[in-house]
This record gives sequence, structure tokens and C-alpha cells, in this order.
Amino acid sequence: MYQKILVAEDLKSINEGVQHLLEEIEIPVISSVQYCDDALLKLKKAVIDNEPYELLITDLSFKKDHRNEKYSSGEELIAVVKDQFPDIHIIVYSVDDRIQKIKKLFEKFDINGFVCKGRNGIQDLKDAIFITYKNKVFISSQVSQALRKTSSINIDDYDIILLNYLAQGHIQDEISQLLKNQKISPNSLSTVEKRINKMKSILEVQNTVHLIAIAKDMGLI
Amino acid sequence: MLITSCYSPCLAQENNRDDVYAIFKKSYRKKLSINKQHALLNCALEHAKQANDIPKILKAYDIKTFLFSFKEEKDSTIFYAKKSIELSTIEKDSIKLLYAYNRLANGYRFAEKMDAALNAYEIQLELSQKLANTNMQVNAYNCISLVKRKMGLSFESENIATKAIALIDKQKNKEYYNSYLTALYNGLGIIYKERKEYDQALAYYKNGLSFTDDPSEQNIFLNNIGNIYLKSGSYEKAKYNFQLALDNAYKLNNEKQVARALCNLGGAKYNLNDTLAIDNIAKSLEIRSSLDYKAGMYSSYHQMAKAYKYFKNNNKALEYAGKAYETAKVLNTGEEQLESLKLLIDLGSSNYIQPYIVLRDSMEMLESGATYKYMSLKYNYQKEHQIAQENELKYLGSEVSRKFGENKRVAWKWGLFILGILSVIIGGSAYITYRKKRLAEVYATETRIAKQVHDEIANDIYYTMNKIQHQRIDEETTLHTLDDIYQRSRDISKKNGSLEIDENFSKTLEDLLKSYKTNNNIIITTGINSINWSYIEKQGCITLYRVLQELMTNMSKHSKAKLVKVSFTQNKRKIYIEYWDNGIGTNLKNKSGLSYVENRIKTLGGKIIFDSEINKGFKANIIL
Repeated sequence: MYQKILVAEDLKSINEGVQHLLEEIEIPVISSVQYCDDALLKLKKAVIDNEPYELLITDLSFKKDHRNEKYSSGEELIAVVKDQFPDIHIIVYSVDDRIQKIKKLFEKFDINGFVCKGRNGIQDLKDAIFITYKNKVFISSQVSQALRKTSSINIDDYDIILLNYLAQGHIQDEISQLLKNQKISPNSLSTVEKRINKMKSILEVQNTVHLIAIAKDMGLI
Repeated sequence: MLITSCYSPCLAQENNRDDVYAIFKKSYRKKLSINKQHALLNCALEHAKQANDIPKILKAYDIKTFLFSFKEEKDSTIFYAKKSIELSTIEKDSIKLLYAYNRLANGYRFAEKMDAALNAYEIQLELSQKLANTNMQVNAYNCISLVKRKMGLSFESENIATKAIALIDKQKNKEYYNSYLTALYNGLGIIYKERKEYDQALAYYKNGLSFTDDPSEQNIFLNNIGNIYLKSGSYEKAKYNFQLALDNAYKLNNEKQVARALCNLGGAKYNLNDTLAIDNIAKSLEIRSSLDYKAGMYSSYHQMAKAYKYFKNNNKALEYAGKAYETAKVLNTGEEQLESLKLLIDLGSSNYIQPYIVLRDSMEMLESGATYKYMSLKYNYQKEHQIAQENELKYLGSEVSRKFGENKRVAWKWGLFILGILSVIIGGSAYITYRKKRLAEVYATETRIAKQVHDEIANDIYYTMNKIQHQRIDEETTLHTLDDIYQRSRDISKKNGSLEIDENFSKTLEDLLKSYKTNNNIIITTGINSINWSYIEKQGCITLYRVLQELMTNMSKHSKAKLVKVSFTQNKRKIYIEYWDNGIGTNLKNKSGLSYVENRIKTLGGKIIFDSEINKGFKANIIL
């Protein structure tokens, strides 16, 4: 299990909750800070003393007060920590559940876990600590779509050309040939097939007839 | 021999490129005289120019600059450094450019053109920061600190030096920068000595001493430390340090250093009432005279005069002080002349009062002049930056005015004048209307949020409190209710919270729309990837995001729509967004949510048209 954990969280009540959890699962060294700058200082000091922290649990939003902070948000802190101490694990513990933002944290900063504060927050955090220790990624279920590779929902002009040909009664072979005649590319049979299948999946239909019907309903053709 | 043997093969075998590198290598040989090295280089340069081989021309310039800087031929150094800069700029080779600026700056510094040197060092600093070249960055800091100190900008110099030390402190391979640390601490020591804060100066000198193993450098520190002790009256300690320096100098067999230590030692000794001082100083004078080292001779004369003054031998003191003044005049250095004149006056020779005053005044002028020149340069640089930015802004304006044409300018003058007045009036009133609208929107948003907090949060919390008070619910239900309220308060803040708009706004929008996908609906977009969002300001993007969010929220809450389509088309700068769903529709009357959407779009100068009837779906056309 982790031996040394740093918690960056400016709300005292939440901080205490996390502390309590960490004591419960018997983490030997637990430190907590209320400012991003302090967090960075602690991490640096620990590295100099050759006893680096293994996990950072941080909030995303920190309240501004009289102190003039160099890093004022969790995101900035994560950026600089990942840059300076690439080995440390990071779990974000936040109320911010914007999918875009969470996606960015995983993609850009390679964080190890994201836990939503909420009713199951503490339980999730506990799971996250055990899972990230095994070098796996944790994400709270209500925002799990951030990591799901969803397909596009976009139908572009090329797709609409295909729909029109289909509506005129052409089969895929003919469409490929027609595209070649019109010098529209891509025009290979496999592309045509792939694109039509993509549309079928976006519009959740089983066959071409149903596809055309829905496309008509939606005013695509 | 080498010169002759170089020219012929080098020009004969034009295509043999390796030859040039061989010449470069040869030119570095220490055994060759500098003239021969230059001859070799000229030959290589000729060759490279003929082959139009720019990297090699650059290399030749670089080595030439380097060699000239050794010979302290300042003008040539500067000339070739400038050529290097020119060529590296054309070649877009940032690393070469960095080194070229370093050479140029050094050239200026040796030529005592301090303001020009400073400018070049600052460019070096900027480039080295961009290229993350720590070595050159520390070098730049060190030199800037040195130059500023010489210009009398002691606080700025100190500031830069501490920056450099902090930077070195961050490096993993600190030992590598020890020589810089030595120089930086020495500089700081000098600054504090000049400010007469001797304790601090001493601390810096001692610090600097700890970073060097080179006996010559150690001697510099020992002498400096001794001088501080001398100034603060600790003569025994001063003597001890000078003695160490002297021993070191003997070991090194370096006559100049022996003379310096002896002269200093004499200074400490006469203050301790030790007549051996005269012998020490005489010996140093002898060595320096034999080397014809004028600056050293001056120090010895001056020291001797002071020693005789201490021993109350006024005639001898006057004799040496006079010699010191004569030497200072030959040296043509203001400070030394001033110092020796002062001593002469102290010894009671009133003839020197007049030249002393004249010299002092002119020196003050000179010093403040140098500082002023730098300050104005610095100011100009910032100003130029500002102008460059303004120019960018003016670009659009000039585009428009160019269309009016040059010839018709006079005829247009009156027209433009009237147009100007009109546009001020129209613009002014439009601005006022805009402000009003803007305020109205802010007000509307605020009331909407207030109402939402009241309806959705406060009421429910009150309700829950009531329940708990009357013990009508268990813990699990309480938690559940509270979580529900928490989620709703989150939704409110999410709707009104900040939004990050990055380059890929299409993706952001698509993700937003996608997040409303359930098992019961089908959501598609069309044309979203071909939109160029750069015409829309950030505020516009945020508004559009919020508006679509509102429409989609309404859709998922009330419409029961199975099909949703959001299509995007662009015509030049205008973007058309069509929202369509096949839900239950609405009667479009008294829809506060929609008026909020309408307000937001209107504030941006866009248009939104709704179209809906009960059971006939919902449509919204947005033009931005």
C-alpha cells in the first residue's frame, strides 16, 4: 500500500473526512495542505529528503484569499507536479464533473484517478487509492463516460451524398461506381460500406430501408 | 609555409567539403600563431562562400569572432559577431544566434560600450530562456550583473546576481556552475563593499572562496577579504589573509600576484605600526616597475604615500603621492586621479584643490550620463514593444483606409470629417444601448439564478429540515434527499460556471450534445466539423454553448423527443445553427427559459427564431 500521501484540499470538513479515511486504511504518513503552493513545497522537500510522496490527492478549485499564490488551481498544480515529479500518482477529488475537463485531466496530465465528491465520494476515494496503487486508473461511475471512447454523432456532407444515392435505390456497388464517375473520393466499396454502417449505428437502425426512413424524418434528405 | 600550402589545395578541390573541416580543425591548433589561424580561416571562408555553404560560412565567422575576442581586437570581434547574427537570423538557427549574441555582447563589453553590451546580453538571456540553455542563461545573468555593476546600477546588478544564484541552485549538476558562482559572489561582495556594508561583503567573499580550487582565483578572494578587514579596522585579520595570498602567489610563481599581495600586506602592516611595511611596498613597486605594469605601479606609489603619511614622514609621502598622481594621469583613469589628488590635498598641498574639483564634477556627470543613457535605452525598448503591438491593432484599420485610395484623399477629407462626427454620434448611442442591453442581461441572469436557488435548493432544504425535526424519516432517506439536493445545486453551478474554450470548439460542442444521449433518443449533428470558429469571439462561443445546453436540457426534461438534430453551416463569417427535434413541442408563450436564450443571443448581435407547436416538435434557428 502507499506509504506516504499528500492531501491538498482547502475545505476543512472535507480534509478531515479524507484524513479519517486514510487513517482507517492505515497509511503511515499523511500530510495535508490548504494551498497549492504549499503542496508543491512539501513535494519538493520530500524529494530532497529522499522520502518522496507516492500519492497526491487534490481538489481542483481552491478558494482565493489574502495569500498571493503562484498556483491557484488544482489544474495548475497538477501540471507542475506531473512535470517535476512524473512518478507520483495523482487522484483528483472534486465536485467538478464536467466531462470535457475530466477528459483533459486524463489525456493531458495522465492523472491516475478521478473521484467525484458526493454521496459515494469517500467510498470511491477508498477504491481509487487501492486501484491506483496497482497502477490502474480509477474513475467515479457518474463521470465514467469521460474515459469511454464514444463514436462521433456527426453526419457530414459525404454521408448525405451516400444517403441520397441509397434513397434513389442504388446498392453499395453502384454507389461506389457512381462516385468514381463523379470523381468524388473516397469511393472504394469498403469506404462506402463503412460509412453506411456508421450511419446505421448513429441512427440505431438495422437495415437500409429503416435508415432512409429516419433520414427522411430528420430532414437529412 | 602553412599559408601557402593552404591556399592552393583548398581552392583547387572545391568539391571536397571535408577539406574545410580539416582547415577548421587546423585553425584551432594552439601552436599556430593567430595570424596563421586567421589566414587558414580566411581561406576556408573563401571556399565556403564559393560553394555557398552557409553553415560553413557561419562556422568560419564564429571561429573568427572567437579568435578576435582572444586577441581583444574588439572591433573585429563585433564585426564578425554581427555577421554571424545576420546569417543565423536568415538561416533561422536559434542556437547559433544565441552564441553570436554572446560573442557580440562580449565584444561590446571589452570595447567598454556598456549599454550596447547590455542590450546584447539581454537578447542572449531571452534566447537562452527560450532554448532552455541554462549554461548560457547563467552566463547572461552573470555578464548583465557585471555590466550593471560597472554602470553603477548596483541594486539591479545585485538583483540579477541573486536570480542567477537561484537558478544555479535549481540545477542538478551544481558543481558545473562553480566558476559562475565564484564570479557572482565576488560581484556581490564588491557591491556590498561599495555600499560600505562590510559584514555582508565579507560573507559573500567567503562564500565565493568556497567554490573555487583555483589558487589564482583564491588569491583574488583572499586579497578582497583582506581589504575588507583593512577597511573595517581589523588589521591583524587583514594581515593574515594577505600573508596567505602572498604564500599562494610565491607557490604559483606569479610575479604580478606576488606584487599585489606584498603591496596589500604593506598596507596592513603600517596600520599595525610595523615599519617592515615600507620594505614590502618597495619590493612590490620594484616588481611592478620591472613589468612596466602601470596600474600596479600606481597602487604601490599610493600605498607608499599612505604608509609614509602614517609614519609622519610628510616629505616622502608627498613625493610618492605626486608620483601616484602622475601615473594616474598616464593611466587616464578618473577614479585613481581623484584618489591621488585627495591624498595630495590631505598632505597639505593646496595647489591640487582646483583640478580635484573639476575632475570630480566631470566624473559625476559621466557616471550619471551612463546610467541615464541605459535608462533611456531600456525605456525605448519597452516603448518599441508597445508600438509593435499597437501596429498590429492598426492593421485592420489600414486595410480599410487603403481602399479609399491615395489620390482622392483631399476630396474625401470633408466627407471623412462629417462621417467621423456621425460615426461618433451613432457609435456613442449604439454603445449606450449596448451597455443597457448588457446590464439587462446581467440582471436577468442574476434574477434567474436567484430564483433557481430559491425554488430548487432552499425550498427542498427547508422541507428536509422539517422532516428531520419531526423524526419522520430515517438516516438513509435523509442522505438520499440531501444527495439529490446536492446534485441539483451542482447542476446550477455547472450551468453558470466557467467554461474553457479551446481550439477544438467543434469537439466541445459535439461532446456537449452527446452527453444528452440516452437509450430512448437519437442525437445527430451535421456539418459541425467544417465550421471555422475563429470568426466568433470567445464570449460568442460560450454563449452558443450555454444556449445549446439550455435547449438540450429542455429537450431531455420535457420534450420526449426521439430524434434530435443540430446542423451547422457556415457562409463566410456567419454561422447558422439549426436545432430540430420531434418531441411534443410547446406553445412558445411565457417561456422564461427561451427568453433567456433569446437575450443571450441578442446581446451578441445574433438572431434566434423559434418555431414550435404542440405535438409538432421544436425548431430553433440561430445566426451568429
